[in-house]
Amino acid sequence: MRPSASELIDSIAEALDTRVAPHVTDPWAASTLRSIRGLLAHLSVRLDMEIPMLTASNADLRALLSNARATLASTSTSRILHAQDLDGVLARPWRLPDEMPTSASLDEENRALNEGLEQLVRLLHDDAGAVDEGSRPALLGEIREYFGRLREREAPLWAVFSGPSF
Amino acid sequence: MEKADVATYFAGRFDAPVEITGLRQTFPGMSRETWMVGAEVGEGASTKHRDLVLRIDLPSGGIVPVPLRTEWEVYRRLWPSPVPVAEPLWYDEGLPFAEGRAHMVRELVDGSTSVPEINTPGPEGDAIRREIAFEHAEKLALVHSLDWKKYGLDEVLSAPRSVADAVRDDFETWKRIWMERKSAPFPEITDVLYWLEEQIPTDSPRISLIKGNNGIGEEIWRDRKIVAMSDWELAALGDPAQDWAFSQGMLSLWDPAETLAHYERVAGFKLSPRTMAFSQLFIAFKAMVCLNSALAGFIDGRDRRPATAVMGMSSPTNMGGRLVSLIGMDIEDAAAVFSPARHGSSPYFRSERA
Repeated sequence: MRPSASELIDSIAEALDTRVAPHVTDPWAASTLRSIRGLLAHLSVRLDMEIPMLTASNADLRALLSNARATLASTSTSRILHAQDLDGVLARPWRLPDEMPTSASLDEENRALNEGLEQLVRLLHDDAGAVDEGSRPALLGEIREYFGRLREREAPLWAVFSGPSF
Repeated sequence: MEKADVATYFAGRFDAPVEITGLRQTFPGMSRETWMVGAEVGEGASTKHRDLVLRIDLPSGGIVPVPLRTEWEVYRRLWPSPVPVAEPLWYDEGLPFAEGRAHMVRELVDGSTSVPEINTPGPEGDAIRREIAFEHAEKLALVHSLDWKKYGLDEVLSAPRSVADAVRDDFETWKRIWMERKSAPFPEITDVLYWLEEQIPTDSPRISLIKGNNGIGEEIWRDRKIVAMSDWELAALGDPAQDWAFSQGMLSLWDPAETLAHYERVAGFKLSPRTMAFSQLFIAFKAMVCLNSALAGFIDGRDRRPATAVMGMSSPTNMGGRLVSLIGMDIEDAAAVFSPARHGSSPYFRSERA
């Protein structure tokens, strides 16, 4: 549909900049306007990239957690328990096979996968015996590489907030 | 906030007729609402003008995870102390006024939160900036050397178990708040916290009352002197270096080495370089906790200000992303990378490491 949602958002932002902002003198009103401009710029970017970004992040997270699960499962009983926790996170179905993913369902899935990753980070720091000496730094290294990829993927979403937030 | 509502409420408090002649919300001030109130109290010849400050929790409770009642109790205990604060008048909550929100009222102290002459160019300006930097250092020294037990501040603020635990106990408190209030799982921040925890210094000089956010924009200045220290919403008992990390540019006014040496002379103790470095990263974490935890109020509808969403969403990525890039570094190197402008001439960050 044209104009696209992003085009509409950008037109609202432009109107606020050129027709409204110059006439706003109250500091709280001007502050609110600055925040609204930030949110509109964020929405303009997010609208087009949210679904592909979440899809890519979820696939990345699944690969990372699956690899960690395999490493944990190959060691001892306590580690297998941790591996089973990750199994639960990885096995949960988030939508029917022929259902189109929505941003809401992808976000819910992303949250659950991130909770799994958070547990894994805690395990690697808290339980020195959870994995063997060589696997721990390797797993932490993989996790931090994932953090780097995530930051790169999400950068356009947050770059729009570089100005004053209020 | 309507003048009529304030007049009715204050009339009950003062037991006299009240006319509100001025009512203005200060800007900025995102964490709590602060209203300047001009009131004519009484009637006829006995009418007196009062300039008051009304501080009210946000409908969501506030951005800082410390109750307004605690801030009130800090004010109440500091009022008879040498630390200059405005006279606190009353605290209340659960009333029909302000939808039942917690609020406190204090006297307005004549002065300003800004010091316009700070931007004076040339040698004249340098002298002014030095004077202001030293005045601020002296007032921080006064806060940090205060006998907080004598004034009962440990009745309302949690005291660390020991001097060596001054930073660790505060860190544990904020880590717990983060775990309870974060808007989503942030494994990246969790990873940072493990690294930061390994860096916690134990060489604090003493346990001090610490103010939290401080400096120009926070305190009340008159004739280049601080006449009242305001906004005690992040007051705590801990390591004094934290206040320098939260001094919002005060160390860039004048040579930081001279400013800190002046502070140490007045305070009577020295700060630890490692704690100074750690505090900069810790304050960034604290700020992120405050901003992100406020998102809960946005999501459930209690605080739908656009700024709450902007700050809450972006802070874990912006601050967390910067912190995660420091993992594995020496803490003093990490602080220098995190805030490079602060470290150029400070003796607290060794130049050979820069």
